Amino acid sequence: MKHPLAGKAIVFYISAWAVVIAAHAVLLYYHYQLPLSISLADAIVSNAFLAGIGLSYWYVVQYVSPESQGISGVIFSHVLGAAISALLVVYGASAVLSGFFSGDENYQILVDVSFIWRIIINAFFLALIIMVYYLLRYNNNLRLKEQEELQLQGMLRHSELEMLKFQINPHFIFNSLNSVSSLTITDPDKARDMVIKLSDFLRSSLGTQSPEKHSLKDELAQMQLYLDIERVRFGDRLTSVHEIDPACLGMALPNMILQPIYENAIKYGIYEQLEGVEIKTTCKCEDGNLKISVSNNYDSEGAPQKGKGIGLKNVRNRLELTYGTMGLMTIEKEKTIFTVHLLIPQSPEK
Amino acid sequence: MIKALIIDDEKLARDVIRAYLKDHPDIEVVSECANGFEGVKTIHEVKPDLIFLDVQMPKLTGFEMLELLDTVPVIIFSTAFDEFALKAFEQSAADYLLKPYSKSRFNEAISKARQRLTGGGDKELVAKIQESREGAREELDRLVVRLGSKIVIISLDKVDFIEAQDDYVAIHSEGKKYLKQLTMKYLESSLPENQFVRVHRSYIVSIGSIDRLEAMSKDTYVAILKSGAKISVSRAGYSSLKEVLNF
Repeated sequence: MKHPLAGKAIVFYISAWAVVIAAHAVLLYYHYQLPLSISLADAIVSNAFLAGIGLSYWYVVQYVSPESQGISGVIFSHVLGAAISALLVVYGASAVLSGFFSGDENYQILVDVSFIWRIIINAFFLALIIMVYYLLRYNNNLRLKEQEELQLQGMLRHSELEMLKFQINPHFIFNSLNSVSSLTITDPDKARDMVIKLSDFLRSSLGTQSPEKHSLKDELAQMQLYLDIERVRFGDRLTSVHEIDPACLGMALPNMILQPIYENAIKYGIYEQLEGVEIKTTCKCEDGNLKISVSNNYDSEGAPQKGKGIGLKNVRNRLELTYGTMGLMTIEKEKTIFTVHLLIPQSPEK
Repeated sequence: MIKALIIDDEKLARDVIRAYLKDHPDIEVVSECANGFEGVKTIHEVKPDLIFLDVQMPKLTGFEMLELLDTVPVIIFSTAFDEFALKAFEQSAADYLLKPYSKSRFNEAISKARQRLTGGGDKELVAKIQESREGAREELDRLVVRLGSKIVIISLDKVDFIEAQDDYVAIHSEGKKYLKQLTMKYLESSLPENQFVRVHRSYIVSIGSIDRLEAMSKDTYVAILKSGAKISVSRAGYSSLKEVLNF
């Protein structure tokens, strides 16, 4: 840490000493009836020494800390240090002053008599300065720690978000590639189309430069790619319907937040029943916020296979991390319809 | 002529197999199925020599399907990505294709299958796969049984208790009893252990279905289920119950 008085604060330090010097001079001049020149000279010389030592005490404070020496060690070092410093300052100042004004007898007597008092007052001033230095240092450390903590939290949140972002099932990728492999035999044009769609989708979701958030319009385009790819795999067993209020197309939402919801709908819809699945997406603006509902038909009698619900949990965690509010995702289970509702806040964000 | 059946829920995946099979004129695809229910039915009807079986399918997985078969043909599995399935294949030495697969890899699987066809099918395969799934500590989350031509999927929370009966187990659920060829050992290790307890050599009971325990003699107890059924509890069973229920 830099010397706290290195900047503008030095003005404050000097003015504080100016006040002390003035008081000192006034005391000598009125109370002890000394000549003005002597009063001023005494005040300036004895306090300027102290002010100089006070400035350099910062470096002592840097090396004497309770962390390394314990509280009692620190107090001991400083009491001893301050006493010696005060003694030297007073001794030095007195020698200079009495040598200079050797003709004034009253003054000589005063210097002798006040010797011990001067030491005590100087030591007191030094103690005050040391305490202020410690306070400043403590305050600075606290601020640094807070900053570090904040930074750490930010990093943690970022990595958590990164982890939650890419949750595409490897199953999806390999099955899609298998479809491509099949299409190269029967329909090369469609195979090429599928490869391009798969690439576009992976690029937008895998890319490190892909934004944390984007517009609903981008999200829906991305999800259209995903659903198109899945439709190549599942054929007419998968249908999707969209009901989008054009007014909310520009609203922002986390990148790929809908993908786990669609994946879940397809899993439930395709793997747990023999009929096809219809996925319905509704987007509305409500009170300035974006409201998205994705529903699919499912077989409530079916005993589900393993691994369900992880994707949805990720969506919930991601929303919580991004917006700092709970309960943005709700699930509604009716007899044959399963719906996921998302509420995406628009302006105030964390 | 080898009769083959393709079971996969994705048409494009079935197309690949058909296309690759053009090089093998002695293998005839007698039918295709898009889900496990159909698969079980068709296997019993057409009795194929060879099946191409996808693991992840609607309603019934490929593994669950196998448990329901009376006779098991030679099987070539296929899967896209499933760590449990892969472990099961590797340990049971069944041949499997990882999607997407090349024609040469496919031909390799076919020649292995031909060897097994002359050797008399994959009779032991089901047991082997079960064993390896047991080893993989893969928890069951439902049970699949056949009742005549009907296939019933029993959710675990509807199972009251399971009783050993020679080579079979009888699964008691909602007042009905279903027989299935499984071992108690496999069930004991594969059912969720916070939900099921083996209370006796011949019984596994669902904790949620127990109404109360009554002492029969000094060392033996009997569990009275909510359904009214009475189940003997051995000394070892009593201590396992004690451990799970914390009494």
